[in-house]
Amino acid sequence: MLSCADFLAEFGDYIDDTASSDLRAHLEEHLRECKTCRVIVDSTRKTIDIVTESGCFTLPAEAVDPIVTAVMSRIRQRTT
Amino acid sequence: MMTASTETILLSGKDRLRPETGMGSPVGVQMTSAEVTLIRRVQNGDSDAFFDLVRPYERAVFLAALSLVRNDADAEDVAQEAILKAFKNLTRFRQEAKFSTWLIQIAINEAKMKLRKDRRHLYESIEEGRLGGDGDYTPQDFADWREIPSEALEQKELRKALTKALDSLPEKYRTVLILRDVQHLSITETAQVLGLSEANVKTRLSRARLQMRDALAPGFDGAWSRGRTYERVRPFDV
Ligand SMILES: [Zn+2]
Repeated sequence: MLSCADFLAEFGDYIDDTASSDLRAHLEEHLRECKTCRVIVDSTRKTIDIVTESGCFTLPAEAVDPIVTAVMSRIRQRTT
Repeated sequence: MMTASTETILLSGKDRLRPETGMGSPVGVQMTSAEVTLIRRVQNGDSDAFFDLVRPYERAVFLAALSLVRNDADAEDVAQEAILKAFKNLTRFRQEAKFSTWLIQIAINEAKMKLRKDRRHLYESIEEGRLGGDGDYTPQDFADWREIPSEALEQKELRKALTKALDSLPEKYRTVLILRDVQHLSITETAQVLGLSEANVKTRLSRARLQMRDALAPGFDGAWSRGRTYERVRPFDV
């Protein structure tokens, strides 16, 4: 049986679904027994969703675009 | 001045570097033939083609820079220097990596140079020393999040918590998290861009995600979970 620390050392591949099937089986065995790690996996997945689902942030790219446009026009001046 | 628009960075999910494939597609030299043609044209002296080539990645360059330098004005300088450098060096671009990866890599390197120049001694020693290596990270919060109501995701409090959480990450973790989870580079691409091993990227990514998790935990300050209670589980045994 893995310890929680062992679990955590490998859990990145588990979360990203890139663990080998062997490793995966070991990790899932630990998960069945350990509610703490289940909670950590669950909340980490939700964290990634929150970070990734930037659609839920209403600030528009309007903040970025003027800067980028200015940068590109300065570059144009310097390269042509 | 800390206008540092973490919130702006968070928007860039829409500007992911690989909108057509989403997350984690395997890296390789998979430039579109249009890109290859544009690169040839630039290499043959057609500088207009460069702007078409760069256009899809302009925002990504700025946001990658911003993830390191943390303020708009510096990120603007870095983006400009990086794109100019790409222009000057494109004749030497050998297509061993994708153009976008190469371009972001230049931006990250420019940003690092800027940081070193601005806080010569602080940068490496504090980041690397005080905050330790890439060793284990022990989670701090043990509340069962259960379902996060979708309204909660639209709350200003969440955005604030997210900005604060991202700002609280050490730079080396923040950059990995932004490249991977916000800009959707693959592990391999993130490693290329940052000049790290893939194992190193994976370790940093895990730590970054766990630290974000702790920082965002509804039980942490409860700002965006008012009125709900969370069951707590047994803390970690290490
Ligand atoms: Zn456990």
